[in-house]
Amino acid sequence: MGHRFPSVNCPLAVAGLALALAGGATHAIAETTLTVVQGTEIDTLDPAVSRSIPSQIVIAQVFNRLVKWDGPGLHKIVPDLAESWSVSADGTVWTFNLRKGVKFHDGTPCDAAAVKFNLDRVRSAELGSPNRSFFAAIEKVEATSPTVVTIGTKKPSPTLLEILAEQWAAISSPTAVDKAGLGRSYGRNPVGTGPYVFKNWIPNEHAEMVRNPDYFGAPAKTDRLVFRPVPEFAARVIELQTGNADVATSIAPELAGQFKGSDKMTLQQAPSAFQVFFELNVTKPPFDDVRVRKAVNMAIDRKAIVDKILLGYGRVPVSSFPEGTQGRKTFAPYKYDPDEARRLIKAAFPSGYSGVVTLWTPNGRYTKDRAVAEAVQGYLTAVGLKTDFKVWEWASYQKALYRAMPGRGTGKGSNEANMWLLGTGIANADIRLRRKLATGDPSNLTGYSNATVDGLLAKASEEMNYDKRMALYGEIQRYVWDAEPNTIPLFDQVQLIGKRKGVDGLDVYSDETLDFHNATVPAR
Amino acid sequence: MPKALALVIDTVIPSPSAGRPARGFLRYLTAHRRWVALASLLVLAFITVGALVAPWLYDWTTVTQVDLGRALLPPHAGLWLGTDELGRDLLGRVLWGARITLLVAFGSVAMGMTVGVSLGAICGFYSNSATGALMRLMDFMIAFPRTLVAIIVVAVVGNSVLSLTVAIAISTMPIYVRFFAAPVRSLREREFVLASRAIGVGDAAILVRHIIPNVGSLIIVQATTSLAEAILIGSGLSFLGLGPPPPIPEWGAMIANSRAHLGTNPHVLLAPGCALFLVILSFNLVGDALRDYVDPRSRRSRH
Repeated sequence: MGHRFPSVNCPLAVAGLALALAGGATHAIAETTLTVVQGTEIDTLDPAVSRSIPSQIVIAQVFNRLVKWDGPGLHKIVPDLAESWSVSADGTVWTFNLRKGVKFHDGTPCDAAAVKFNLDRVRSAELGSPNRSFFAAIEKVEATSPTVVTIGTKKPSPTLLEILAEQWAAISSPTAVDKAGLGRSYGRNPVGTGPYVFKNWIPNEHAEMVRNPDYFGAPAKTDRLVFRPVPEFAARVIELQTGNADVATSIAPELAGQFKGSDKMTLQQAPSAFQVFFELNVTKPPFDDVRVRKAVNMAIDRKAIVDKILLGYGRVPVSSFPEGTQGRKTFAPYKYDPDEARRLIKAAFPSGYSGVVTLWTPNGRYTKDRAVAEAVQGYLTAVGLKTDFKVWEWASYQKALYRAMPGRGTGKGSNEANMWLLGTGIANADIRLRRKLATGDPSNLTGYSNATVDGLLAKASEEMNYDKRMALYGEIQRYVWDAEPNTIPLFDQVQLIGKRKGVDGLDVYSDETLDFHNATVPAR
Repeated sequence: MPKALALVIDTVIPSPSAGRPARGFLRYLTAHRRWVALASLLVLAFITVGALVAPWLYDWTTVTQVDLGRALLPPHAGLWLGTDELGRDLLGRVLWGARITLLVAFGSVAMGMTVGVSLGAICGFYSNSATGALMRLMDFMIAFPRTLVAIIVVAVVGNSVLSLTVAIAISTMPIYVRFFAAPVRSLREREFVLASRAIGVGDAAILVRHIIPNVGSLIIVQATTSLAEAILIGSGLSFLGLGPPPPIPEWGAMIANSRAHLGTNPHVLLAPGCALFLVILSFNLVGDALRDYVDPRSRRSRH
């Protein structure tokens, strides 16, 4: 595709043109392809309903949102399809001015009506998107003029921009959505405005996309992207070694050693918002007593877990927010002090806790999850707690935890256990805190209900000043770290991404999505 | 039982093992130079002894207590097989694992056989609509793969050593019913059974005193091969995470948990893997030899 240059506004393209002319070749540049192997197959490419990271990685290349984060640091929100925006004095009416002349890959203009169509669609009961509740603050969306969209919110909504920057808020071509009809078939034929044009997806084989020559921003640097699912950890490394793939996601720690001294591939490490933890059932003994919750946090040698089980590819948590999470505050790590743990348990149960602590874990969902859970079981036994251990398969685990059991302890199936291993990689501060701590939230599995935390969350949901709002989230982080924990944070994940030597310009976000916009591949 | 009748039994049913001590089998193995089977027998004896004395060599705390400071150590003096990913002594875990494995295997075969042979004998001895229905039910159960039946049972009753044993027993029981109904049916028509009946012996006495002893050798042979199968199903379920919960050492689970280290620390996987391989192979080889010993026809065809 080297013969077709986009509107020349980029110095690199000028240089490329000059070089090409100097060399006397006008179209001899070979097509470049970047192949990505992921651990899990894509489930849907419809951004409105997608929730899995492997799907969102593909979606991010094809679509734009109204606004986006400035980069992996999540420092500020910058324009994407909206050039500028403003909010009314009472904080309930947002006005977005759209970028002019943008067209979807199918030629449909990306105007205010298209934005309204998308925001109405993701909020509709008819679509039933699992992401629908994130948009609950929006009351109505209006296309005031072809390039102006106004969004009315029920109350002042400080989190609106952050929601619109998420992948679920990506703007699809209304023509393509209508053509696909009702149901979920649009997820097989996505059409966006992004730097890559979706070409095809053969399930369990590959998804393919080519560079969008008419992209409104700087054009992508690689001509073609191919995504393939390769579930086996070792097989993904082999794909890199043999040159079949250029990028491999989630490399297992025990395979990371193979990258040392390799002349074919390199390992890129990036911080991840993903933290793995045990949630504690705070509605029944022994963890209804905060002293025992603090005790178990001191009973665990996290440094040993990170060094020996994760082989150093992880971090000891210093907050419930890992690096790369919005509004992060850090504290002193929990110290490993089994004697103090025993003393605290004795203070709560003078003759020792006679019951059995039921401990659940999935197997193979998070990095070394089962091994880490078994180590934790060992540490709990060492401070005198009797345990009962159950290993679950992921699908039935989720069902068992989230099953509604009204009126029973946590109100969920989680009430059958005392502690269960989970992880979260949500980089958005508000969503991350609210899901796990707000009283009665559908994702609050621990039965946590605390007036202080609920009060701070309520205050944050009305605080329109960004810095002040982040300070409130920081206060909540401190409170659950020092005063009233409902988890045993175990480790912060580190993203391990394998690359063929010479692959460059890959942007790795802390929510574990990747941006290939500036990625380049060396010649094969 | 009259002497004459006993004589009839021995001539009608050729079963050289009837009443012969285990020494006969050993003598048979050496006489026929079946060294491989003899070696297998030794392996089984060695592992059984290891399993029996494990608690005196390694206490429970040693094989279950996590010590990350010494994770994945290679084999060396004192830690003869090294340590696993959580720093536990592998030799201790393999020996304790043998206890669990053999307990589950013998337990499930004993359970399955007791029920299976009894039902098989009844179904073979009586022919009526009830036993017919029972046999069809057994056919129905056999139609499902054994591992699948075992998975269903574990899913219903939860995972523990006992439930694993019961699951394997239930999944293998129908085979015994089918397997024993046929010889019982043919025995039922034999002259010595008719003779017993003629002199007034009741059904129960005939079953217990004449029929069951005559399928005894079949039971022993079938039990030996069933043990190998029970171990395979048990460790398979455990590999899938349906076995006894951690920290109980079980070979299948140990293999599953050490797969990730195959490239870097193969000893963690090889220890339980080799133990499992040796035990299953040995049971099969001993079972083969036992069948040849018990059944003179197949012995002749071989030698």
